[in-house]
Amino acid sequence: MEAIVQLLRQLNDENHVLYGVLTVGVVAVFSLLFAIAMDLLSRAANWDTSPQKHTQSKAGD
Amino acid sequence: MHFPVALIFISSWDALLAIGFVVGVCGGFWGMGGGWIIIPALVAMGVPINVAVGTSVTNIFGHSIVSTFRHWRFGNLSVMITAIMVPSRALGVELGARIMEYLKRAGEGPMDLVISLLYVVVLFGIAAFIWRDIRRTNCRKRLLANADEANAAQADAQVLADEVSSSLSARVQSLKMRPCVSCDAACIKSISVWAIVLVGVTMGIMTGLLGVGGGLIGMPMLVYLIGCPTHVAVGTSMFSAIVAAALGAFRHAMNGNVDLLMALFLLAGASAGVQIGALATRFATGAKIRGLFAMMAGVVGLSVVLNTWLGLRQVALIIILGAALVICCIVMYLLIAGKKAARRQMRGSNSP
Repeated sequence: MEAIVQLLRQLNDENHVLYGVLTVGVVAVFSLLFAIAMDLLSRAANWDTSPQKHTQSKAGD
Repeated sequence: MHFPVALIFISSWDALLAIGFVVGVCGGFWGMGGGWIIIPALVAMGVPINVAVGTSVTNIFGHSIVSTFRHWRFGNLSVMITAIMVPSRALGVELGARIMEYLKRAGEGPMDLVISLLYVVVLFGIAAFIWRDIRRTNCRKRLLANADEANAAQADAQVLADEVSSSLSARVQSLKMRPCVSCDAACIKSISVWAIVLVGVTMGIMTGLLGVGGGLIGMPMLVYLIGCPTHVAVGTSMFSAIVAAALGAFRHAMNGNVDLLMALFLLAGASAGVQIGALATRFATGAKIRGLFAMMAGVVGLSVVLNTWLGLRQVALIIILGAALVICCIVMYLLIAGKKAARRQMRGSNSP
């Protein structure tokens, strides 16, 4: 863990572009994996994840 | 744990998870980033303001991906509206930044006054507008329910209460300024592209000028101006935030304003919270989602008044965090109650 902290500090100080790319990349990959995992989990748990039917009423007209 | 960019030591990282979770619940439920919760909370923990802002934007980028995925599964996304809104939002950010530069030249005092005044007017304006709409909806619902006690009337009342498109959105949709597009996901047969561009530019100006992510303005504008069903407005608002937040995260990271480790802790909490917030939208009517949103907008407006004009920073922070926590509990209650009701209904339909 300490090594990761040191590496991040070093990147942040010395290579700004790489740190920017790493930040966006890590966050995007983490989020996508988490989203897919939660989707699979919710299906396994038998939650209703089917698309909803939307209506657009004309109330207030 | 030591955070390398924020340069602070936080003994209980579970506080970060908790903040992320609350932000995720609100984000999944309303389609907003939640910078209004994260930034004051991180600053209160001793994180420098620039790192708090950068880390918050990075977290918004991550949790908007998770939230968009969930809302896409629910059919709550309008790709057409997002495709038009994203570039117009970028234009709006540029306009907002230029207005900010112009205000800067007038001096720091007038700039602070104009920005805080605009912020408060927008927040209280949104809250008042939504409350007025909900009161009108409730009146219609009561009238319809009283007029005829048959099931059909009740169903009509339920539909009307659930999805209210104001007369304003009907008028906007009747404008035939070419080019026009149709949005199946949002049940809009035809709408002028310029109306969607206007929403995108306004959201961008708010981001460039006030620093709010756009969700605060985006969701109500999509509902009341474009005529999106509330659930679609939530998903679309979140979807359109991805590009802007990605660019913001990259820029802030390059400037040394993002603590990646802290952002990942926040994101882990937010990703779990988003699932709850997004699932709760299945059991909440559009009016309920908008009502809670109006409540929150009012509270944020109050906290800005307390913080900026009265100098009561700690009180403002307590009010913001308290309100976020209360709303988080209400959303979780809606989800649990909705699940129980659905289970009862299923048992009832299965029994002979």
